[in-house]
Amino acid sequence: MLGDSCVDLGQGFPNFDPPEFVVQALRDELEGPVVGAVRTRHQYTRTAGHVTLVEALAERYEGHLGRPLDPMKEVAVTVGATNALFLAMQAALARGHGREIVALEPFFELYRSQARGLHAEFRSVPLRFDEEAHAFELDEAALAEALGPDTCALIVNTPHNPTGKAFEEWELKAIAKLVEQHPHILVISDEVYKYMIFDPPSGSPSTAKDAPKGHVHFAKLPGMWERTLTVSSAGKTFGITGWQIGWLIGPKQWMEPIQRFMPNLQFCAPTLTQRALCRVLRQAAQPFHGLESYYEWLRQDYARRRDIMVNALEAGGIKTARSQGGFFLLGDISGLSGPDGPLHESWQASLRPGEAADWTTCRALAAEIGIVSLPVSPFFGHGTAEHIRTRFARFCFAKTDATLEEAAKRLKSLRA
Amino acid sequence: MEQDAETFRPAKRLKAALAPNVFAQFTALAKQHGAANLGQGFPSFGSPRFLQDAVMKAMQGDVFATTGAPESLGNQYTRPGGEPNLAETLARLYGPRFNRTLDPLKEIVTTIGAQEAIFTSLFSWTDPGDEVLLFTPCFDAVVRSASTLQVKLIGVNLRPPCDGSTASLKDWSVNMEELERSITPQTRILMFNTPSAPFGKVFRQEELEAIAEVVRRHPRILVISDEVYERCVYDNVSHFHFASLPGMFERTMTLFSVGKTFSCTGWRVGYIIAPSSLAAPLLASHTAVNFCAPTPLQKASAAAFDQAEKEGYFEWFPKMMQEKRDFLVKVLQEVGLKPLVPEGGYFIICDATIFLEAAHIDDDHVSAETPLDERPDVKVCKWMTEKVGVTAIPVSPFYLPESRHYANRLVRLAFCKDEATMSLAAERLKQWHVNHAEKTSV
Repeated sequence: MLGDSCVDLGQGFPNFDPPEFVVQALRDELEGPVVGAVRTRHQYTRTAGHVTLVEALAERYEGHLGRPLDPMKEVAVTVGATNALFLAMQAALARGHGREIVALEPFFELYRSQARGLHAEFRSVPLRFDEEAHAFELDEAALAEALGPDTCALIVNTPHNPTGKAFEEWELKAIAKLVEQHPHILVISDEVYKYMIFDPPSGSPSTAKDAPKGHVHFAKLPGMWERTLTVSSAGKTFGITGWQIGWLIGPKQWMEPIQRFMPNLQFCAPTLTQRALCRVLRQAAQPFHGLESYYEWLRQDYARRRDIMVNALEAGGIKTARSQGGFFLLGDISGLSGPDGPLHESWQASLRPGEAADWTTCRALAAEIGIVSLPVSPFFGHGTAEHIRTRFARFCFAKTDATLEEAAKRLKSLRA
Repeated sequence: MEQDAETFRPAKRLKAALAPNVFAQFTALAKQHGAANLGQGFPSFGSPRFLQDAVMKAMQGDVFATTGAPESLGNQYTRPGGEPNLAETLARLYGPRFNRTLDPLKEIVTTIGAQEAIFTSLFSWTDPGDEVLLFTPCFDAVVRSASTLQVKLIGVNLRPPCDGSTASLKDWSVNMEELERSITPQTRILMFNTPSAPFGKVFRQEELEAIAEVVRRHPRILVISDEVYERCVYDNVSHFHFASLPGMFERTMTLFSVGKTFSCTGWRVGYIIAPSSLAAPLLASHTAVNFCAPTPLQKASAAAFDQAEKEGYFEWFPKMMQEKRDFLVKVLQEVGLKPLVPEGGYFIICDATIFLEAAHIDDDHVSAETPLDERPDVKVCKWMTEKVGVTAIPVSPFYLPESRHYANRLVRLAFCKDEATMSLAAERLKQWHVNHAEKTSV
């Protein structure tokens, strides 16, 4: 299926190099002068994170959250956000107040596999799909019903994978209000795509030039700092998913046991890349390519790619769900299905017994026009109606112009 | 809303896992006192030059395509089981050592250091209530990882020969009857380390064969063989892979470390070699917990193995380490610390009786329950840092509580250190010895 001529919009990482300054930062780190007889560049570093990096992160988050932060006690550097999520869940479960981990649906499948790996119950709460707006939104009543004495953690992911939704302030405040009624619940705020919000909601608070535009940090909401662990990473922001540097930010009472547990998992995150990231963070806040910062350049660059992708999908008869951020789009592929539809040549061969409709359609899409996308039904639990669960495929637009152009060409042929 | 300390008290089963990390503690103490740090087991001499070149190359050669799979990635996610170049290199290297053809995609899982390999292998292959049989003393991370998994730990001690002679490590052994007696229907894992830490014993083929015999009699047992120090073997002793014994490949997960092999502990690249039936769950856990080990460093590790072979690094490295061992052993003998000469690994265990006496630390009122901070070996290590200016690591954290008394007078010194640090340590030990001799002769 994934032949040499397929355009892969399924894989969730860029198919272009990271910015030059990022690669150069690692080069500089490798080639920088050595001071003193004791060589530490290639050796273990502090288990909770290299000192200069946690200081840099604390400084950035003081800006984001509007509060002083202790770099040694309220920051931890992890091996990617994946690792941070695991540590946060483990910390929530260790406290012994409930064994349910709740996420909104559709959800990043990793949340469920991690929860289960920790012998926890995973519970997903559907987002409501508004047909008119063609957008997902928070269903407060459903979430209220799902939270209770058995809940130990709630995962809030914004911008959201797979829908690309950037939760609005009113939605996050509504979540905060619900969480307040259950003081034992930990909120795990997964914000890895926060620097890619393309249509900042009107009325967004004005922020510093290098702050994530349009993003609301859950931990900044009134009363939420004490009960939130913020997860983010360098991978998506700097196009270095393979470097695997993530972090957790939170209050001492949560972070302290996490910092003591972390070494058991992998001792520390790699020293070289942590040190390189310090340089990267410094430079990213500076003007870049005529814009106020690298972050603004990134936002605009992804916004452009998103628009190309939306146009390409719509030209092929695939209606996109409204999204404001991230690097994924959901496209409605239900109209492509069936032995008499646009994918009729490949339809029969794409059928598999007992398989959901979106899988078949994705397979046929790959076979017929050579575009790989991800069926979205695995991101849902059972609370969402089947016609919504199997309606969409996920398309990643973190791809080169050449790839997006090729995709557009092929999608156009669907309408022909 | 105010929450009290009770709200934030973690589960009791995490007590061991949340205990302060002894290595980090002593490194901080060493810094504070400007001591010669022979404590934590990371090399402080420069890493081989080819490592730097390997990383440079790894991160600049991403080869993408407009269509189809990317050809070469250094900066993006790689396959969770291991970056393809590294997996293939390892399969090629280890196949002959295990007497078989290894499948790089199914029989190798790369991890974030051997530390993660330890966690992942225990996490994937034990259920609450299972028993894990450990050769002790052992790396304390094993105990900490295991303690989070609600498994019962049973230690079988490495012992000197009964005749009490001043033995070399060659004659220390694990008693096979004791091993057999420690096995119950709940025993799920047998875990050992060769070359071992902290004692530096290299298990011979005959010894491993005797262990294999026991394993063959108990079909429920899986073996985790931690072989991270495989390249640090001295005195012409050979390292032997447990999994190469008849019938043992199918039952064994062997753990390795790029960090120890190439003196780059900060890269966080390790790997597990195991049959696909054991590797598949390892992969599932590793993927969920971490997704993949950092790509550029995995790729660089592959290049490092290739370059190492070309430069004869694997012949040079143990010779270089043996010289350091010999240097330190001589100094320790001179000052009366009675080193137990290791056959492998990075560490020398010493009897620090002379220090306990000088510091007036007694080891009479110590039991299995005595907290680490109050144990005589921990106290003497703190004293050594402050008064002698040399940092060593106490040995009691490496034993299970009921056997900790064996470590009352033992300290661990690392010789994987740069010349300046080693010389400083030697100077200070000798100086203390001279001063002490003067004092005690007055």
